[in-house]
Amino acid sequence: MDPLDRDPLERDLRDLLTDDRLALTTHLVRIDAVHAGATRRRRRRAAVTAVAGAVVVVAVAGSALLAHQPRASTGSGPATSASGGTGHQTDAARAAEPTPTPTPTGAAWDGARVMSVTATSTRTIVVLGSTGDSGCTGCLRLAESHDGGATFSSLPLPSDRVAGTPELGSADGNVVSDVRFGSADDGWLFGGDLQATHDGGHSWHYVQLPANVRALEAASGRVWALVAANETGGDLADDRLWSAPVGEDDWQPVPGQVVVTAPGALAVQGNTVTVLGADRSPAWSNASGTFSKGANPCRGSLDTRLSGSDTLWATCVTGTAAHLAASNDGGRTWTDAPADTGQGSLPNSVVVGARGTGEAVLGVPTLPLARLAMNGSLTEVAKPPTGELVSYLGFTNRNVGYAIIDSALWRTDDGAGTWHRLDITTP
Amino acid sequence: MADEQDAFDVFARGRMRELLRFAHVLTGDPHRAADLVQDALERTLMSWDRVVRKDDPVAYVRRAIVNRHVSVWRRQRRERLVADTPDTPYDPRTAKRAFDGDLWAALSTLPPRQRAVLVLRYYEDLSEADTAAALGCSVGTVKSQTWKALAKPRDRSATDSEGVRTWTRSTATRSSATCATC
Repeated sequence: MDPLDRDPLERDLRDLLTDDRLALTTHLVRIDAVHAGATRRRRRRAAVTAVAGAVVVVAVAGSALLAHQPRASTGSGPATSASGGTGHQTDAARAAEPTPTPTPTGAAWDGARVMSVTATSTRTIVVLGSTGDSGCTGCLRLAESHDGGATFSSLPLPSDRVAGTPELGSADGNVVSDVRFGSADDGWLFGGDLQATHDGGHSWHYVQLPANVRALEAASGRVWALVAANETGGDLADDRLWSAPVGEDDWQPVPGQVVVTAPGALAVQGNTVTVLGADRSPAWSNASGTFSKGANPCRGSLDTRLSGSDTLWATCVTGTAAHLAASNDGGRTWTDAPADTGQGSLPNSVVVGARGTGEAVLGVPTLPLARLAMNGSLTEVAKPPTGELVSYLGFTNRNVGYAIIDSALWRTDDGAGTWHRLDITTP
Repeated sequence: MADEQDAFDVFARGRMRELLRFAHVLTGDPHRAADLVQDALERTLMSWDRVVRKDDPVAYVRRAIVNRHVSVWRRQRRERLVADTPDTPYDPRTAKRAFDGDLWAALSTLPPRQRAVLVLRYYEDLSEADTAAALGCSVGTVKSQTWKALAKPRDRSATDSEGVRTWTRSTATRSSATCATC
């Protein structure tokens, strides 16, 4: 045994220094900024050399004049040399002016409407927005924050992407509606086709899949996507589960024909993946180790949504109404969560954000946000921050969460008790 | 020239993650780490043709980071705020082991040269000779600096009233690991 390994402190030190949580996102340093900095250094070095040379010339010339001219005439000589020296300094100073740092390559946020938000930690978020209506080109915006939303900087986007959500069964490949990041470097834009980044969003590339990507989630080093499997004229489309390692573009369909009726819903928590489908499809889960079919709490529904934490919450839309179900075993079994808001059945616009074990936060238009327990009981926690339409609720941990309300981004640090609006402005 | 720049870009992109991480464990602060890496890469780019011909580029950048970190600290030598412990997104693969905030805080109290010795020895796994080469000092200095650097968190932990963990070692064991003449 290495004698160093016998010392618990040295072992703890090795563990600490190699802890994955000390890894930093690579786009903290941009290569173009390194080039700009090196250019500035070269110019500064050249300027210093030029000034030093000028000083030497002035000194030598001054000495020569002093040696060869009458004492009374020394004023003109040094003045000329000084002028030349000043000229050198001016050139040198001009040369030493810092090269402007390249501006961010992404377009400024410009008051865009928030469409999607993804968080890789309690401080790091990436936000997708649009400055125009659905279907507009050139109006998508992407911004990132590394301080919990206090400040943002813009990120570039593929130029030909269109904002919006593709119609079910359409082949709008260039439509983008969502963003997800599975690590600080690896992210995806989807909705239509799939775009991926592996450098923190500074460059994007197209990833070829057979059809539109309906849903995508990443955790534990893998990214999972529901890809439309049959969108060419059938009455009902199917969604099929595909997967890839987070840092690669090696997408493969998941073995076992994990297919559900569209629009499917996907939740990933650790290594556990749950897929729900509409209409008569079964639910799929790999909570037992391999993917197997189970009872679908949304059987017969027109639309399904999933929000996952330690407890999974399914929203089953049956028309203008919706009902909720929850699972504590990764989607193998479900229990109804009959939330009673006092206004009859839940509307189809209800939004659920899973928050830890056995709890979620519920957003219903015009009603205060409420904590929701597995048995359906509700506890009012906060008035709607502003407006009415909650389109997203999600939590990074039990305290920190984000909401998209009336196309603005809000953050809570106390488990939905209070919210503050994030001001997204980028250069 | 363009080929050289391309080669540098490939090198910088490929090594960025490990350089940032190295600078992070060296400084304890992600922002200072990013500044150090940018500074070191700028210097490396200016000497790129020489670096690729005569040197190991990663070792060169690592040396530049360490030297800059130590020299800046010497020039500024004043109290610095300790950066927050790293943000810890939930990850089942690492969730079993809590981040050792006490040891991280203890490292932040070390002078940068002592911390650099620990990082090179226990993170980069460099030998004492390689650590000495990276720091431009003797192997004996590396040994003595290692001993001094480890003594601080060890003493701090030994006085901990909780007594959950102790890093106090017997004199014999300590000597076998760090004695300059062993």
